[in-house]
Amino acid sequence: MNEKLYDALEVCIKALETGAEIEAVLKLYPQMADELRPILEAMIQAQSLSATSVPEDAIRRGRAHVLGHAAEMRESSRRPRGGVGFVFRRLATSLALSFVLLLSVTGIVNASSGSLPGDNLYPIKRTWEDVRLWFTFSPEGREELESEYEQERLDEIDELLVDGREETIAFYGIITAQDGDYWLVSGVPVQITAGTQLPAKPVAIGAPVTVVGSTNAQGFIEAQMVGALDPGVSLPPLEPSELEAGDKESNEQGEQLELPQSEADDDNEQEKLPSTFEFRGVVSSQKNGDWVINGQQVDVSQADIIGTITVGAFVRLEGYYAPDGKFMVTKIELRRSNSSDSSSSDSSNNDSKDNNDDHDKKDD
Amino acid sequence: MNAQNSVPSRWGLAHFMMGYNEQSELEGLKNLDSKVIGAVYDRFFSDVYRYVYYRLGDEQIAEDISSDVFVRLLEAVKKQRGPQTNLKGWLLATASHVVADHLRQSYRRPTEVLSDGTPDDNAPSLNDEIDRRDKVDAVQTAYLQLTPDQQNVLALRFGDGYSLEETASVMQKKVNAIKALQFRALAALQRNIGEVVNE
Repeated sequence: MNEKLYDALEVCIKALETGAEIEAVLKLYPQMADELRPILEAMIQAQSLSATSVPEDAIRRGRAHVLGHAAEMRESSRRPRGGVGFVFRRLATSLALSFVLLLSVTGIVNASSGSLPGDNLYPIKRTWEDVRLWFTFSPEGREELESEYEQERLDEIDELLVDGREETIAFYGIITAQDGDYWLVSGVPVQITAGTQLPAKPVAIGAPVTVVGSTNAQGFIEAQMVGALDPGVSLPPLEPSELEAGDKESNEQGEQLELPQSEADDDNEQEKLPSTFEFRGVVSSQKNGDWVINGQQVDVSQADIIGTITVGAFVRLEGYYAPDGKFMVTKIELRRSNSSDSSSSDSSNNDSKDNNDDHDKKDD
Repeated sequence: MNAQNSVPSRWGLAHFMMGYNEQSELEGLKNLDSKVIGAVYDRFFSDVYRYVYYRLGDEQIAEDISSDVFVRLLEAVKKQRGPQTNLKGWLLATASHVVADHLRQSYRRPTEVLSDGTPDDNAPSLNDEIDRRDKVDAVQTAYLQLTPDQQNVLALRFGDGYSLEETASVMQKKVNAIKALQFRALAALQRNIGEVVNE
């Protein structure tokens, strides 16, 4: 009897799902109608709990979350495991730092933090930076510190130039403009002279370089040597390339634009096509086609935009430097959204490339 | 309500025809292949979301738990504790497990749900909407008083729209058992609704 009742219920459910009325359906089983009626009424109620649809936003956000987690898992699996050695290193770090604290060296270190090249305390400042780097074991931490120190070098140069002091300096940066012998390297004006030692291969806008020279009272650096850098070195955030854009907007979100990655090696190709570069960074502003990423204004009007990118999103971008020094983006894709924004399916597909980035970074 | 003890191993792992090479897909998941992960997500997210929404009746929580289920899938596959054959069954079983955890936590930390607004006598449509929500709330309350198996069978049948056979496969029960379980679940739901309304 029960089996017949269960079968009848199933037939009635299917009929109701096609839009039939309960009373019409019950006429199929008049002898069971009294038993089936409350069950079918309950079934109608049970249907009211179902979701009418699955929100598109929920699908996109969830997708970004899951793919982001997968990317983190890939990254973590690449990192070397700590183990016993890691514990000892951390112990050594703690002891060493405690020792430093006991000797009250921190006072001197703090006093040296505002020193500039040529000051008596400047060597202490640089030594302390080296100590901090030495005790930073994670590649990410080292990279962040290195970038922070390179930015500090630029700030020091700015102060020296403002003060009109003549001091020998060295720093890393990206060439953002070239006008004859007058270059801008990460926003710092550099004068190329007859005595400047230049790389064997010409360096163009967008190339990462190291500059050794001296500041002068005229407000620029007389370069003694400009050297080309290999892709992968941590660099400070790019500065606005236009001379009038003096109001450097520091990015507080901790993500640094990273080194140009895919520079064309073929000299002939380089003459015909602008070199392409690849960065990662945080979007801090979006105004039509002009976006600001880590303080650098970029043009995305011609870019292939992958994913829903909003302010605060961590992105990867590719492009080239236009003759006016502006970075023209050819492709930009969401790497990690700021909050609950979504990502495209390909947002994590370039991790093998990320891996290459990591290998390229300076990591002594 | 009894604590739900459903774990993936209780669920159907047998002949749930998928129509694709599940083994290579599982291998792709193990390798954290983004394309495979995206494809699995696209194929099953709606089913998991609808199941969780049916169980809990909250869009935000359904979204959070659903994506968490896929994160758990990645973690489980990495630790060699993932599904061997029936991916869909594993995902829904895990969703059931996470829902049960959520319910246990919410029982420990009950929260007061504030009304979106006060009823306005001059807005009949608003009143209708409030009435509708009250009815759904009553059904939801009655539903949460069912046993875990009864909740599952209704969620799979009416939340996901699965057939008896699909439901049986996912719950690793025979079709006849699902028929009986479904009947008892609806009968209990009708009783519970009456009790909730009369309270």
